[in-house]
Amino acid sequence: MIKQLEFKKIISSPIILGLFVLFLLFNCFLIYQQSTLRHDMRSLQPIVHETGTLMNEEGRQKLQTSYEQDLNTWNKLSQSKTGDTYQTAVEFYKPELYYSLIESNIYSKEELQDINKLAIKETYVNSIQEIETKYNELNVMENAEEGIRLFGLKGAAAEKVREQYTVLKPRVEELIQNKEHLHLFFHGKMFGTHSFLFKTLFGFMLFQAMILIVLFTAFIVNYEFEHKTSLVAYATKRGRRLMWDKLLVSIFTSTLVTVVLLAITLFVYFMVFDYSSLWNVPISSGFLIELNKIPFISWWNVTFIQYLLMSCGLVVICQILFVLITFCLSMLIRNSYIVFTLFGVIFLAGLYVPSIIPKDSTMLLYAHFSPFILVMNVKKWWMESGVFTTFKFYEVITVTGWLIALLLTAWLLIKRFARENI
Amino acid sequence: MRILFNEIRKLFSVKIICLLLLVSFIVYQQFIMFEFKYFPNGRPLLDDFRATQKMLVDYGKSMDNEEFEDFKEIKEQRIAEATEYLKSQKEMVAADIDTYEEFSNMDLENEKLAALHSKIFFEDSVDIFWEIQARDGIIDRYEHPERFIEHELTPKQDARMDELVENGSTKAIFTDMVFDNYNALIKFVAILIFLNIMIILMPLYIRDKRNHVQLLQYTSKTGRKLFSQKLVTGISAAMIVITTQLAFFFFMYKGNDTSMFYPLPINSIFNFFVSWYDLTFFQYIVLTVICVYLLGIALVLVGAWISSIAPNYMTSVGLHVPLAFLLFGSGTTYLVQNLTIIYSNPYLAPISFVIILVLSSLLFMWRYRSEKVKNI
Repeated sequence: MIKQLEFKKIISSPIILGLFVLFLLFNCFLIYQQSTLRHDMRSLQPIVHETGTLMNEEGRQKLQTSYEQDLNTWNKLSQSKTGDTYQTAVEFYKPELYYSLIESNIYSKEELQDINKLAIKETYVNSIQEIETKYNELNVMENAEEGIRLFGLKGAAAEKVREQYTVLKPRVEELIQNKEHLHLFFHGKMFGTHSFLFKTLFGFMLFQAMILIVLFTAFIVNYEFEHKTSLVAYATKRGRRLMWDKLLVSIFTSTLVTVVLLAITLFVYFMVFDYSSLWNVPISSGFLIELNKIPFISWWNVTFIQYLLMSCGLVVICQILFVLITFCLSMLIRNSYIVFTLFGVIFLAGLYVPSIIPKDSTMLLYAHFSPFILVMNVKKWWMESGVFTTFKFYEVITVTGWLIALLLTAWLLIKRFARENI
Repeated sequence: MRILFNEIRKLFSVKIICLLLLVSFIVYQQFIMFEFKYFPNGRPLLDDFRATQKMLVDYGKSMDNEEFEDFKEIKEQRIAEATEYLKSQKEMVAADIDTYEEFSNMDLENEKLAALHSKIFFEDSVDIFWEIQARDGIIDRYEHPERFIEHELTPKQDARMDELVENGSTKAIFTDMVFDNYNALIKFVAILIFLNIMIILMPLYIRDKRNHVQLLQYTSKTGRKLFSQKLVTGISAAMIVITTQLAFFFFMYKGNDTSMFYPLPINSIFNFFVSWYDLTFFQYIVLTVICVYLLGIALVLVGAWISSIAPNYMTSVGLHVPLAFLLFGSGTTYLVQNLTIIYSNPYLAPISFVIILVLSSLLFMWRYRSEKVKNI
């Protein structure tokens, strides 16, 4: 009963609902801005239907023949129309020829779409070789050295980084063995889907949920103090136990808010962008590589859908961490807006701490095991993620460690509160 | 007056001041110190900066064609010095590279030569070589004013560009380094100031409402006046915050040692920023400061309004979230950072300011009138 009433306090406040709707609209706007790509992205599905996602010898052969057939068909058409034939589809887009062709309206709209599709198919065909060479030449130890040099790591810290990358090495070999990198997926250099989904969208959702959660947690924990009913409410033994109820309700509501926010936003995203028949593509696919040319090397062989669900799960757990941090702060400071500001300060401080640790101490690496740094880099969760955070169980260790520490702190603070003089 | 004084004292409690200091410290560390510490950021920017400073000393405010010849002359001298240097290096001579000409046309695909190249630049970091690069950049920009001539903008913008080329202001000596650095800094300083104002004004009305002292106050005539008194308090508090923050910022900014650029016009070939008006750098700085003050006042009006309608702190903070999003994002970008830039309408900023100030005053006035006759 008490829990229900506490829950009602949160849910019935217009500002939480208002912000929630505002955030959702904002996310939809972001997706809408990106939606111009959906058409070109969709031309991957027919290819996958024809050849399957795996581009081993057989798949590649199929794709090559299908591509050549299409090119032939196109050339027959173009020969009958203009007398030109093309070696590759990209030639069609050469500026000298393209604009005059468009102006003279030789090709109908559908035909132009066909050549566009063909050009996209060509990009996939051409990328396979590129990806294969890239992964065959890939040496993660070199990447580690590069990173160490770039960030000026020395001594023990540098050693530790090398050690971690040595652990990563067999995984890369396994990845190549499994041919995880040769699965067709939306071309990263053309569409950048991974960055948009896991950096932009997930990043915004994390911060949106965080804002809501910090707001209502600080609000309900200090509700009695702000309404001057604390002297009545906390006069009894049951009253003092209210804090447990508040903590549980905050955690429950944070999960609810996060799940609903994720569910609606992702639902809209996958309605706009068609991911059918690509759900089971390994996330380490070489096609995902974006303009910065850094390959995605996940620590385990996970598929896209698994990766998505794992990331959603981690987002929910991260938000629970933020509930606990806010709860602990609210137990110490009885003013909700100062708690909100302090949370922001702590967040920024968490990002700042690593920069003051000497470059040769392993503490530098361990300082990165914080939820604040974790949430800044959703795009590289469960993956090789640069020199500081490439540990096999980085995400798991960070959240469990902090969860235990914060739960203990919260428990101590509630215990203290039970006998506190108010 | 006594009320005002006491109200201000209430806003600046020790706890709040500590919080403000903490916020300022962390924002400075995370976003602002970088622009101070790494100015100019690396090489050849440092050499570019030095060369520009020397130009200022030698040629005064602008560089005419004769002076430009002299500038090129100095570069030739430096090249001669560089050749001397190369001749004195055994390994360079061994690799058959003993003039600057050969050095700059070196085949960098060749690993051995690339190593020598990077040895000169990065390991020994020989100043002359960096300086030549920087001077090359300056000469290149001076010789290519196409940016000002070949463009397809609106007729008005074109006319402005032509005017700049004709009256010779493009030949002024200035550097985009100084300008971009200031522009990046003022954005974060403005954000920090607005953040401080938000934190300070949060309890303006809420605190009295929460403590139910309004019931006492509003029964008297003086009590009803408190509502407008508090707005004056808010504006004074904001003025104190803005002035203190700006004073501290400009004290820190003095360390960047850019005072010789203050009297120079910003519409120079060496600056990427083109303004609608013939401003000097100092005037531009003054303009940004005025805009920060104006936005600060508008923020006080909106913040006071939020504080007066919000039933609790959660609602108040929640309402500040979208406000902060707008203000820290496009608000500072268009109304503090890119003032009078040629690529946007010259009336955009003034009109936005008028609209913002009028709307926020109306918002507050509306609240004020209902508060005056409110039944409690």
